[in-house]
Amino acid sequence: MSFEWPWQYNFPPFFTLQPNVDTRQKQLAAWCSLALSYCRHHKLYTLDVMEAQESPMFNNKKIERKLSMEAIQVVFEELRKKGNLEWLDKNKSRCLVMWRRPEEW
Amino acid sequence: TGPQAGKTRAVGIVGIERKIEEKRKETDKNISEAFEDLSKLMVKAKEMVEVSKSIANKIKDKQGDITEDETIRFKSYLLSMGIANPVTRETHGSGTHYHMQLAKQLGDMLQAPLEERGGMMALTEVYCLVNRARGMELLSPEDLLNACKMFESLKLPLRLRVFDSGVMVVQLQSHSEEEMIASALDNVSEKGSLTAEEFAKLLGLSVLLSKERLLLAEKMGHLCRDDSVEGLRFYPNLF
Repeated sequence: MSFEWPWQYNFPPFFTLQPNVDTRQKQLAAWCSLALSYCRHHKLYTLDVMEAQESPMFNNKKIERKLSMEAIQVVFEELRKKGNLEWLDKNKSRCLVMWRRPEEW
Repeated sequence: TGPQAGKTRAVGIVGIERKIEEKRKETDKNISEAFEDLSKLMVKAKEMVEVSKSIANKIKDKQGDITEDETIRFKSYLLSMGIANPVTRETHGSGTHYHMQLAKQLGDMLQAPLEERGGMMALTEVYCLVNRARGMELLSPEDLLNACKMFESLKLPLRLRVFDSGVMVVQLQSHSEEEMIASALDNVSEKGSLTAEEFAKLLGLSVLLSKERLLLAEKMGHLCRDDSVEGLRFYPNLF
């Protein structure tokens, strides 16, 4: 079964961090749910930030858009706040992704 | 043709040297005179500055919220000396009489060109237009800005508006913002997505103003951006 991308994935502005606060919140929420479902589908438990940028999750080859490093950091930080992500080192280069929050298990 | 009376006749190299020497002395005299006059003038101006400062202090003592004739006259004195200093005098006469008159004149003058351009012009554009039409007695950028700042208090049908980017524009008061944003959204939706340049071409506006419109619509949450190597594109906000 192939992974089903959300509609936002083919919408170029999805790959630019939006300056408008409301818009950005919706954008980040969509990114978070995309990242979680992507990891769940591919059974990924740990992510490397550098590798993640090259993976299809943050890099849409079809529309030639790629999420910038800073934006990926913002998305990860958002996931961490929600309790779905933990950093494995101090440099924040590797992280543990939890499809469900620890308290849900 | 005899030799000129009363003057030593210039002969040979000595004559030429003497002539050069005379010329040099004369220019020397001219130059030193000019500088002397200039320094005298500076002394006078210095006195004027000092006097005006002391008057400013006196006005400060008697705080008043009505625009008195005295302070207005004082402002125009300062202006004629080129030391218009609104920082300490803003509470004493809002702006100058001169700028007030100028604002009225601009109001009459800009009405038609503004309507032609869709109700909005960048301040630099206004500056070009006004000064080109004047030819003589040109406006300084500062004068224009000060005059434009008075549109509102004079109840003229024009407004000075500052965008978040710092770009200043003059717009007609009848110019409706919601309408502008709505039309921007319509245009973008129709084309799928637009850059500022494409939008400018579509509307026949300047690139600067069309970009401000798109940014404004983005700020209101109607548009969102796609920033890539291809340029900054604006899309309808589907989020």
